[in-house]
Amino acid sequence: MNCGTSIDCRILPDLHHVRESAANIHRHLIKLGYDPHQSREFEIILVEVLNNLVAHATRQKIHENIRLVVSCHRESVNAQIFDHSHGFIWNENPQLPGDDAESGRGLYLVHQLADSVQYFRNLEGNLLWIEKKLKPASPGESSGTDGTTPSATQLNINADSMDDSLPASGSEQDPDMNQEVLSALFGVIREISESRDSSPAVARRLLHRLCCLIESEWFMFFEVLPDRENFRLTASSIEEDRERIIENSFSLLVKQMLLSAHDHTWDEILRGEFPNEVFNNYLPSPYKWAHVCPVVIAGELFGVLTLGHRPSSGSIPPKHRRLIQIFSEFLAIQIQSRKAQESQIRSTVLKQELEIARNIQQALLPGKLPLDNYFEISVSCETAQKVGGDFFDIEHLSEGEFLIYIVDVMGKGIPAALFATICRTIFKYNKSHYRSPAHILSETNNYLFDDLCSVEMFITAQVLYLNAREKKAILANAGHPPLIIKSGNNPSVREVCPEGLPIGIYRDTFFEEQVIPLPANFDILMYTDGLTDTRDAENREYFGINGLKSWIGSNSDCHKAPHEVIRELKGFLRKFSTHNIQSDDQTIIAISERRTCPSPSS
Amino acid sequence: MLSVNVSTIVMKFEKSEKRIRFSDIPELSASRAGEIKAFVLEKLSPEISTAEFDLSRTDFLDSGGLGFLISIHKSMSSRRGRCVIMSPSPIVRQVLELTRLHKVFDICDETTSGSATISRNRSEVAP
Repeated sequence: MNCGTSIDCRILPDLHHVRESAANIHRHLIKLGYDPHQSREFEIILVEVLNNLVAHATRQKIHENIRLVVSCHRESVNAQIFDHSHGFIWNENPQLPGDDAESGRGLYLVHQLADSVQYFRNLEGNLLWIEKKLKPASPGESSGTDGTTPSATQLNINADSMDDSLPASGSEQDPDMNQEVLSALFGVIREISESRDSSPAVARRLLHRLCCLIESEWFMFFEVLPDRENFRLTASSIEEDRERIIENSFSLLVKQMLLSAHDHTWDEILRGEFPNEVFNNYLPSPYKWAHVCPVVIAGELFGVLTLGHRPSSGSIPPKHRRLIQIFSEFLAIQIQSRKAQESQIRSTVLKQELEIARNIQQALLPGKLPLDNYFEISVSCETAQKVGGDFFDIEHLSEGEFLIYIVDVMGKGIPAALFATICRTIFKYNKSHYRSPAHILSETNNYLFDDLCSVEMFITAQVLYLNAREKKAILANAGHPPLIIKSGNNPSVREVCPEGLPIGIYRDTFFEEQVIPLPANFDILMYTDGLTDTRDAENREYFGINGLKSWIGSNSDCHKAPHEVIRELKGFLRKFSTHNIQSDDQTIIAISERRTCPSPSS
Repeated sequence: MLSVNVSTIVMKFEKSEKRIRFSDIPELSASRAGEIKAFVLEKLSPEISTAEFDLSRTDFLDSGGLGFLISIHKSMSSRRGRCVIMSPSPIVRQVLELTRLHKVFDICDETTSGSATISRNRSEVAP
């Protein structure tokens, strides 16, 4: 059997040519002494893959020939197909379509007939690598018995060029070397895809393989940090103490180069020819003879790979430099891909945690509002993110008697939600002081002041005590937007805002209490600044407190139930802020004197 | 029996009352499926209830060829007819089995004595 043969051909992007080329390769394999049936299987694989490429070629490259390299070995044949499509996600486990589907079985057949299929994407294009084990033809079945064995002149692969007589070793096109490189790469790809290694572990695995391949003795890989001014050692094969010395030497040399080349940037210097001889002087024994290679991905310096080699071997030969480049690019892509995966996992976990936090926060809000013969209350609480810094609570103290809190922790998201939860607990703890809202705020400030100061946050809050029998309300305010009250018999709308700084500003601060007589048919609105800070469609004007008062004034003719007030107000705000996404948490509490009999459905 | 050139492929067909048999089909591939399909559909006149494909000399079958066979199978089923694959060559049988379509088609293995075994779903056997 004539092993070591390599066929390198360009195939016209046409189904007929693909078919003819594959048939010629099949005949050639039989001529080389491979089993005819397995050679036929290999032919089917080639046709399926090449047809797929013809069908999915990009518009710009639709007329470009497809490069196919078939390498023959003692017990196997492999094909390298250089893909000029956009590239695709290679499905490792294709499924059969329904029985009556007329297409969709090609890649399934490839997987079934081939022993190994790997899809390799890199910056220079995509490469499909297929291996099929082929046994020699049984006696009597060798070339000629197939009835299709061509003569030498017939063996004309339908392609622009074909070379099945490449030398066994030596040049950069050396098929054995290519085979070795690809085997090494795909071996690592397989290991990487089966492992859950972090990116440094992936780097170590890959660089160990590279070192074996080019007979390098050690490696260090420095990755450029996001600040693009410093490196981080990502992977290394040497002892930790020596690592430090080499890392420091490297940093020192780069700094010196920067000082002596004023008009060159750090990036430009590292992309250029690195002074390996100078660097070698810095290296501790026995780590002499380093070769430094920049790793550039998509035009950006990604890192620097340092490889150690034997002094006797001189500098790294050109054919190895090419290999180093291929491995480095692949390494960079793998690291980026791992990081993206890790980031995706972190993001998924964070999303799940946020969902849990949201559920907890929702559970802490009053689920069902209390029914009362004197007051009707309705609430809307929307967070800009999954969890928010707004919260409210409604304590039904007795018939016609309520204690209501509305709180807005500065900021959004998890930090705000954490303080909102703590704040709620403190309010609950102090609810026995319901007749004195200012006392509740003062106690809360005492408890939270140190913690809020340490993170430079503050909280605005409003506490309202309502008493129907005494026809009064008592309000205390901690830097919160004014409460709005409207009498049913009087269209004028009034702001009530007792004096008080937000919680967390001063340790011993004063909170004023204001008694509000409750007029007949009153309506009260408590809210957080997410409501008044809503911006208009042009993102120029705030809705503002005047906008809110004006809206309530213009809706004063009819006595609406609180839930209707909230629904209409939110509808108005949606129109007001067309196209604008809600940027802040928004809570609205509407309270009115009961005008209808309470019903469980309300 | 008539021998017809379908583009560069030479194949034969033999028609009796309600049966038509296509034979000597060297390959069923994506590159040829379109021409062969057009030729076969043209020959499937309304009275035909059984379309037989002798694939004993077919030494290449790819997913395009499978698509062709399925389309004929569907066409015959829609007229309550049958599509039978006769004596598939080893590679054809292998591809049918790999894609599990041997459970969909009627496959008939003719023996040297002239008797035939039709199998479908590996259970139904007919003379």
